[in-house]
Amino acid sequence: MSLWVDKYRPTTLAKLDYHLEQAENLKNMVNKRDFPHLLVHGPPGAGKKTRILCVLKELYGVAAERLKIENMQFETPSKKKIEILTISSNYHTEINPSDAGIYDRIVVMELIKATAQTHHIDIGQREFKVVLLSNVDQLTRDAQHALRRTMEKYISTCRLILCANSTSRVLPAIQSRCVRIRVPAPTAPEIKNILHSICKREGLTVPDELANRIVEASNRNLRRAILMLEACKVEQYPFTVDQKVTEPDWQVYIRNTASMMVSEQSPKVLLEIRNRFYDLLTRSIPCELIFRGLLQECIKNCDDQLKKEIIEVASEYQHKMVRGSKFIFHLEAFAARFMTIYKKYIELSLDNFT
Amino acid sequence: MLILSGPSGCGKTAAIKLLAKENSFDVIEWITPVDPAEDENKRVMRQGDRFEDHLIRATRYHSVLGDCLKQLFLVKDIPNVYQEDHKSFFALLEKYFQMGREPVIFVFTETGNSKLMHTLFPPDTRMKFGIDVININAVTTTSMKNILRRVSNTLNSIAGDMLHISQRHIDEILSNSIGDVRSVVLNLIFVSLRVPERHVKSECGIREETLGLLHGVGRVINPKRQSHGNSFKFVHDPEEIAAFFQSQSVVFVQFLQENYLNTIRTLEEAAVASDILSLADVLNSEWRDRNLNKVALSYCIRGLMLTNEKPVTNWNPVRKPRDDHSNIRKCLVMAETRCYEAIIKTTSKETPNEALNENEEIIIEED
Repeated sequence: MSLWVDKYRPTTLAKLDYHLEQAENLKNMVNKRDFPHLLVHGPPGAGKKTRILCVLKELYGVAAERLKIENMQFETPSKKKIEILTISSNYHTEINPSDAGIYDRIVVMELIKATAQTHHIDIGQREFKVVLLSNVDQLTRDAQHALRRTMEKYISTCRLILCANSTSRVLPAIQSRCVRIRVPAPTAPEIKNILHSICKREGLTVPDELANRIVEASNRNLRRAILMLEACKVEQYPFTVDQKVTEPDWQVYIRNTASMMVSEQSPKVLLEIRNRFYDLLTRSIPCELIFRGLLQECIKNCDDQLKKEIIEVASEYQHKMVRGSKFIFHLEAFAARFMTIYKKYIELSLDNFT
Repeated sequence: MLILSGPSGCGKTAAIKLLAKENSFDVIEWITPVDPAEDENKRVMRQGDRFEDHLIRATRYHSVLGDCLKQLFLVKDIPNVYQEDHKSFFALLEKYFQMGREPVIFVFTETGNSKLMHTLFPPDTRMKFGIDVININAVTTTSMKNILRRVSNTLNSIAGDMLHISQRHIDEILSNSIGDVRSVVLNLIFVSLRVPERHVKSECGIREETLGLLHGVGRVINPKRQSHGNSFKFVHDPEEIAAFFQSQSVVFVQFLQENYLNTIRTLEEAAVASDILSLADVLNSEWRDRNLNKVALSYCIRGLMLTNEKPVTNWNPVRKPRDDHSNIRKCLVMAETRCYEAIIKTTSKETPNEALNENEEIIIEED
């Protein structure tokens, strides 16, 4: 049994539920012979992947849907073997290069080379293959530079589709070589419509209030909304208006971490918080998310002056995190700075009070 | 025919040459040629043949240049062919004893367990031809001392402008000697060469202190200060510590990050320290300039030592930095899907655990 998210994923551009105008544009682009590199970006759960798969289907027909999962092996200059999971059809290869950690440069280059060097003799098909790279914003700079060169070299036989959450970490050189397609998050009514239609196709009815609450909790993330809906269904059916909508467990965890920081400030607490950060990181939560969640919780009970100060600090460490490589350093530094600022603030207000 | 054996540098050759001179012998030495030679018929001669040829000729005919009537043939390195081919060597010996007239001396340097002498000259062969064997032992320390004293006097008198040999030098050399006169004298000359005054404090011969990683971390997170009036100095110079770990800047900074909280007393200090570490990480990640690694390390060590004014004096084992799972794909899609999948697909209460286990599976093996 596949999840609803996968089951009800639109498979052609014509079946998409929102951003219809963009879908039309994509379709026109595919139908023209010249297909550029694409950089699809947008917030999580907006439907980037769905659109990419639709485009692939439009390009190659149903053959692009016949997927096989394969472990590809790459060898680093130091003779170390890296295995990467790839999902591929005859016409495209999908890979998440950030799996390779610091060796992503080799993976990116080798994969594109391998794909580009083999032509297919299928007459009537496109003369190029597609390499789909997800999470491009997590590629190291090294890899991005390599990508830039390979992009130019193999343009005749290979097109890239890059998928990223934000373009700020993608090199300008790469951005300028791609057609950038932004996929904005769906609006609340759009999500609600989709939830209703899924329920209809499943033969269920969902109360409007519950749908509203799911939409609100999903934070305009369609995937999360659908997952929440399915989780709700498993937990309690028939739906009731006031039933619990399960939040992702890490959100709760981040919130608790933040409240720890607010309630007590000492090096000992900082040590505990570090452990919690490690926990979060092992659960493959992106650190940007941790950062944001933390900040949102932290500034809840601060006045405006303090808020400004804390956000300033946060942005500083966020920037350092992007530049650096050890996330825990920067998360911890932020926690420490927040705690000192907050401690000073509390002490000051206590002084004023007495 | 005589065989001399003994460790290198104990004076085997010197003894022969001295004796030969006193008794007016010409010493003809066989030196294994490195380049192939051709005979009159333009055929390349085998090394063994050349040795044989040389041996017979040299001992038969007198040198035109030499003024002594008697000759002595000295073989210091036996051609390599005989190492494998013992039989032809015996044949050669046989031949020589029939034709040769002059004494031949073989010199063997006994290094460790080299069996060359025993394979080429087994006892029965020695008996047969009446070959004598003289074993020379390594020079003892006392005689070495005497040698050195005599050598130093001579050297000081003839080359006093270039070198000056003092008792200190002699003692130092003696402590390292293993009965090898040649190397000892060479070393002595080298050590006592007169050098310009500013180089006198030579690093040569001083063993460097090695600092373990854990030790280094300990010194940084537990900085000891010596106060001099208003100012203070660290007992362990930060630059020195940094110099030890230059090549492993990233690892060292990671170790510091894992352990610095153990000895920090106040939150304010912790905030400053973590800020320093955060910047150090940024510097370390900058791959375009290798030198930044050193800067980062030095900055980090100095910063942490300065920040921590009164380190907590607990017993804290130094911990290894934890794997921050940079090899796990940090992917929201994955995290989200897994989290809810756990709820949807299992109805039991143990979902969070399971979610974690599943996540463990996607760790890509590294190292």
